[in-house]
Amino acid sequence: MVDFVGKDILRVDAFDKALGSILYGPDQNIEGALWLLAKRSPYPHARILSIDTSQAETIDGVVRIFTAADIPGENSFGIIPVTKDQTLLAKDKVRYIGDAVALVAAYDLKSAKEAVDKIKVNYEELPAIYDPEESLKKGRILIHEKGNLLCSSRIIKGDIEKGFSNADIIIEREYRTSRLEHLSLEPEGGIGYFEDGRIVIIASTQNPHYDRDDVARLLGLSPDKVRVIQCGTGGGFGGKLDISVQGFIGLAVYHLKRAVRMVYSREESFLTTAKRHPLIMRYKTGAKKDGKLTAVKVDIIGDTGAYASYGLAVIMRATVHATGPYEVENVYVDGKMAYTNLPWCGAMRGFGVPQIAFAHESQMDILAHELNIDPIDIRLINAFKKGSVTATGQRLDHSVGIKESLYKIKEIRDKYSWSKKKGERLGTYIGVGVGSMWYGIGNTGVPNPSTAQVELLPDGSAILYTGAAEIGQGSDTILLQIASQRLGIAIDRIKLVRGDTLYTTNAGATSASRQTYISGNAVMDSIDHLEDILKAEASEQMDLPSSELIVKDGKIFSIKDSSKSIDIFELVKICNKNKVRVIGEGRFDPPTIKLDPETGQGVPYATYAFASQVSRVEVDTFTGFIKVLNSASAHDVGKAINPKMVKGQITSGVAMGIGMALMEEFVPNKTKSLKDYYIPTSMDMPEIIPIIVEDKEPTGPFGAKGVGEPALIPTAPAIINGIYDAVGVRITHLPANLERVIGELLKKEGA
Amino acid sequence: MKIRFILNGETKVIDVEADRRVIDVIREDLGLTGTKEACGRGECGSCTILVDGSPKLSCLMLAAQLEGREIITIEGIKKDSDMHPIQEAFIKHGAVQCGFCTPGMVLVSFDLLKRNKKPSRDEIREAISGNLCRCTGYQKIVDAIEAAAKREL
Amino acid sequence: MRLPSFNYLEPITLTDALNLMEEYHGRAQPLAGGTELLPRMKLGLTHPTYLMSLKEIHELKGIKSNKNELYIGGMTSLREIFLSTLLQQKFLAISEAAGSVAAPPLRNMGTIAGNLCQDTRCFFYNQSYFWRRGLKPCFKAGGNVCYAVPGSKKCFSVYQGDLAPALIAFNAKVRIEKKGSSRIIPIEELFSGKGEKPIVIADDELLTQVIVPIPEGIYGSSYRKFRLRNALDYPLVSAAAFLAIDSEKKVKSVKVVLGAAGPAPVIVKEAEDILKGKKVEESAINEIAEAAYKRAQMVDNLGLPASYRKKMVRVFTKRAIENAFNSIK
Repeated sequence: MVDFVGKDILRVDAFDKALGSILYGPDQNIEGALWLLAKRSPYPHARILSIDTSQAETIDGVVRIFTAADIPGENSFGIIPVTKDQTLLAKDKVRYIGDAVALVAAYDLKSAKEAVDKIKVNYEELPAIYDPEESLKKGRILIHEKGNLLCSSRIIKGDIEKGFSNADIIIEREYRTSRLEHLSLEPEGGIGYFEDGRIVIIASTQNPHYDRDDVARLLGLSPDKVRVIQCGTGGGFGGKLDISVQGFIGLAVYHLKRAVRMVYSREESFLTTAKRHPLIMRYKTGAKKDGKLTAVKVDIIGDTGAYASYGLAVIMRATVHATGPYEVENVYVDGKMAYTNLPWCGAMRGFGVPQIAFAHESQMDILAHELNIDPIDIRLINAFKKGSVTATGQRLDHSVGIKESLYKIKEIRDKYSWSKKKGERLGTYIGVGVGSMWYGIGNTGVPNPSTAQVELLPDGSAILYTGAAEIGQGSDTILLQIASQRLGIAIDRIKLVRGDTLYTTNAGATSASRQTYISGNAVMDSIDHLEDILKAEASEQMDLPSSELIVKDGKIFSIKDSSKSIDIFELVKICNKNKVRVIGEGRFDPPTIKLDPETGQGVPYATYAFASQVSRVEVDTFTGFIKVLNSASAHDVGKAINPKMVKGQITSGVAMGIGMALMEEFVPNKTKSLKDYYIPTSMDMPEIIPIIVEDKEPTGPFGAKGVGEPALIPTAPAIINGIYDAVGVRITHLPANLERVIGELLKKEGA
Repeated sequence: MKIRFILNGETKVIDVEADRRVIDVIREDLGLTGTKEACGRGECGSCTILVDGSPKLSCLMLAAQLEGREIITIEGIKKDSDMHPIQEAFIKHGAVQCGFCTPGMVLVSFDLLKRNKKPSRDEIREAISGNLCRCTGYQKIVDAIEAAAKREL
Repeated sequence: MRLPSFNYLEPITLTDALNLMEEYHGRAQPLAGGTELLPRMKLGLTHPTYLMSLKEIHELKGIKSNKNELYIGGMTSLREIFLSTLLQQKFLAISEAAGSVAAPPLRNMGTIAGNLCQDTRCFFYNQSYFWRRGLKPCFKAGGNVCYAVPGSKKCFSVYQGDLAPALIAFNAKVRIEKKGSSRIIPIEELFSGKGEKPIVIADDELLTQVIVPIPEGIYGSSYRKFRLRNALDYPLVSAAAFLAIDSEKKVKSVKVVLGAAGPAPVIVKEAEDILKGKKVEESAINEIAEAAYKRAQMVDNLGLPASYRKKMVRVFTKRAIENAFNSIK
C-alpha cells in the first residue's frame, strides 16, 4: 500500500493553473451576458433623500437599473447570523464611501458606466466618525440604529490584581495596527443565469454554501432555489468570505432571468471589500524576575468600519488569544468593536490574532530585555505544555508543540550564529527577533461542522464530494490525500466534486485554518460510514455478522478466518445492481464549549496550532529601511498531510507578514491602487527556512491540525523585535514603515 | 480596423476598434482567458504576454499595436502537446498556489531563461520583480525557475 | 475596462509622424511605451482625440556612438539602455537609472523619450473620476485650487522620472523635431519647473533623440533611488552624481541632480563651487548634501510625508556622490 499522507503529492489543481486553462471569476463568460456595475456612495455618512434613475435608463445599452426597492427579500446580509447589518443596495443611509446604492445591468460596460454616472442620488450629508474610541463616546451620531458598539468580549481568569501584586516587573504599552487589504490577485467576479427554476451563480468565493443562503435570503427564496458554484478562486485570505458580486448577480438574475456577469475593478475591490480590523491594544503584563508571567491585562478596541461582517469573530478571537501561547494564572481581557464610517472590516488571515500576537510578542520581548533573559528562553519558561490551562480555562491535553517550535528555531539561530551586529554598510545594524503564536483551529466556541460524502463506483474508483472551497491553499489536494489514504485507493482514482451547492453539502467556510482538520475529519467520517455500509452488505453476502468483519487493503475479511474475504468493489457492483449507491455520509463538528459571556470561560477550539519564528533584519539608520535577511519558521501542524504544501503556506505567510510588518497600510480615501498599497515583491523577500513540527493531534485526520493562518502570525512580531535588537527602538504601531522607524530613531537620539 | 497577427502560432485576422486593449482582445474577443487582469494599470504583471518573444503587459497595449506581431500567451507556450518545461517545474516545485499570477510568472521566466541559461537566485528574483504574487512568498517560484534552468524536472 | 475613445494613428517614418503632428496640431498625442499614458487615460486624466503610436518608427530606436557623443533614439526601450554594455561601462548612472525603473516587463515597454516626458504626479491629482468628481479641478487639472497645499497659488505635483537626473548629470541634450525643423536643447531646459505643465515641448514637436557627450578623462557616476520596495515603485527621492577628477584626484567637474524633489529635476548648482579643484572629502559631500536639502521642494502629496522625504535628500545625495567616486576606475 502506497502512502498518500505525509507525501509531497503534486497539487491536483496545479496542472490547469500552470496551463492557464482554469476559469476564475473574471474568466466566466456566456455569450450575451449582461454586464453589471454598481453606483456607489461618494459620502462616508449620508441619508439618501432620493434616487433618480430616469435619465440613466434612457442610455442605449442599459437594460435595467435596480435600487433597494427591487430587493424582494431581506435587504441585509452578513456572515454572522446575529449581526446581518449590511445592505446590498443602501436603503435609507450610506455608511461609507463605496456603499452601493444602485445597480446597472447593460449590454456592455461602457453603457453601464455611463448609466452609473447619470443616476442622480440626492444625499443629506451626516457627520462621519473615523475613530473607534470617538465612536463609542456618548452623544455621538449613530451609524447603526442599535448603537455604535458592534460587540464586546471578555475573558476573566484568576485574580488580576493579585497577579500584578505578585509581579516583580510590570510592562505597560499601547500597540496599534492598521487597516489591511487582502489583495488577492484575482478581483471579485462571477456570472449568473437562470436554469431549471433556479438562480445559478458561478463565482470566486471562500464559502459557497453561505453565499447561497444569504443570496436566497436577500431574494426571499428558499436556499434550494439558488445554486452557487465555486469557480477557480485566485486567492482569498478572508476577503472572499463575505458576498460581493454574488448578491448583485443574484438580484439581476432574479428579475431578468438571463445571464449577467460582474467583475470588480481593482479600485472597486480596494474600496468595497473587507479589510483587516485595525486594533488598539493596551497591554499590562506582570512577571517575576525569573521571567514567569503572573498577570496579563488587555484592553482592546477595534474599528469594524461601517458594517459588522466578521467583527464579532475577530474581537472574540483576539481576546481569547491575548495571552499568547503562555501559561498565565491571572488574566483580564476586555475587547470592544466599534462602528466607524470607514471601509468595513471582516476576516483576514488570522482574525485578529496577527494583531494581538504583535502586541503580546512585543511585551514578551520587552520583558526578555528588561530581565536580561534570552528571548527564546523567556518563551520556553512560559510556554504551554501538555496539561496547561488557557485563559478560557481549557486544559490542553495533547498536541502542544510550542516548545518544540522554540527549540527548532533556537537550533537554527545558534547554528548560523545569528546575533546582533553591525551591518556591512555604514549606519546599518543587524538584529535578531523572535515571535511565537498559538491559533485555535475552527470558529470560536460555536458549532462549525463540515460534511462530506464519499461514493464508491463499480469500476474501482471513487468520488469525493465536498463543499470546501479551494482558494489556492490546497484543500482539494489535502482532502483527496486523506480520502485516498483512508480508502486505500490511489489518488488519481478518486474524482473530486467540490464547491457546488447542488451536489455538495455544507463544509463551512474556508477560513479559520479549518478545512484540513474539520473537513478532513468529515471525509474520514464519511469513509467510516462507507465501511459500515460495505460491512452490512458483506455480512449478507458472506453470511457473517458485521461485527466479525474488517476492511483491509480493499477487501472485507472475516476477523476469525482471513481466508474468507470479498473485494469491496465486488460489493459495490452488487449494490449498484440493486440500484443502491454506495455512498458514505460524513460529518465533523469540533467539540467546543461556548464561552461564558461574562467570564469568557469555555472551550473555544478543539485544537490549536503553535509556531515560532526567528527573523534576522538589517536596519539602515539613515533611511529607516528594513531588510529582512533571513527567516526561519517552525510550525506545529500536528501532521503535515503534504509537507511541500505546508512549506508553501509557511513561505506565503512570511511574505504577508513582512507586508504587515513593514509596508502595508490601507489608508481610507487615500489607498486606491497598487501604487498606494504596497505588498512585497520578489526583491523584498529573504530566503525562508520553513520547519515542520509534528505533535500529532489525536482528534485530527492522521493527526493533522492547520497552518493557513498560523503561517502569517509570528512574522510581524519577529521582525519588529529584530528591529529593537538591532537599533534599540520599539515600533508599537504597524507598519514599521520608513518614516516610523526614522521617527523612533530620532526620538531615541534626542533622548 | 483590421489587424493581422500571429497568436500562439496561428495567424489571426480580426476586426477591432483601436481603443481596445490587447488584454480585452485576447480574453474577450478571442476567448483566451489564461492571460489575467489583476490591476489593469501595469502594477502587477498578471497580464504579461510575449510580444515577438519579449514580455509585455497586455493591459497597457492597444489592439492596433498587435499588427504584424507574434504573440504568445500562456495557452501557447507548451511545446506541441507537452507542457513547457517551465510549467512542469512550476507544478513539480510547488510554485502554483492560487494560480492567478502563474501565467505571467511562467512567461517572464521564459524570457529570462532564453537570455540567461544559468540565472542565479538573485537574477531570478529580479526577473520576476514586476510580477506580484500574494500566495507563495515567491520562494517556490524561484525554486521552480532555478530547476527549469537546470532541467531538473 | 475600456479606455476613452480615440482615433489611432501609426506612422512608420519620422517624417510622416511630424506631418501628422502638424496636421493635428495639439490634438495628436504621441504614444511611446504607453506605460504612463494609458494608465492616465484609464483614470480619465487625459482624453486625446488622436493617439499616434511611434512604435513602428524604427529610425527612432537604437543606441549609437561616435568619438564624442552617444546617441539614443527616443523610442529605445529602457531595457535596451539598461542592458547596453557601453552604458554600463561609460555612463553608469544612466544605466542604473534605466535599470531602476519599475520592473522588467515595464522597462521592456517604456522608452527613454516617454520616461523623460512623463507627467508630474500628485496623490490628489492621480486618482480616478470617482474621487475627483464633485471636487473643483486643481491647478494641474486646469483649475485654480491646490489640494496638497491648500491656499497655494501653484501646483506642487512631483516629477518622478528616473532617467532625467542621470542624463542631466552627464550634461545630456535632447533633439526636438517638428515638421521642417529640429532643435537641440540641454535636458534641463525640457522642464518648465511648473507642476501644471512640466514639459516644455510644443504640440507639434516630438522628442526624437537623446545626445550624451562622452566625458573625457577619469570619471565616475551613480544614480541612487529611494523607494519603499526594491522594485516597481517610483522614487520617493533620487539623486544622480557625476564626478570627474584629475590625476591628483582633485575634482575637475561635478554635477549633482535630484529626482522627485519638485516639479522638475533639481540641479544642485552649489556642488561645483564646493568640490571643484578639491579632493572628495566627507565635509564637502556633507556641504553639497545640505545644499541639496535646501533646494528640494517637497509637500505632502506622495507616499510618505514630505518632512521625511526631504530628510532623505541629504542621505541620497551623499550616497550618489560617494558611489560616483567609488565607481571611478
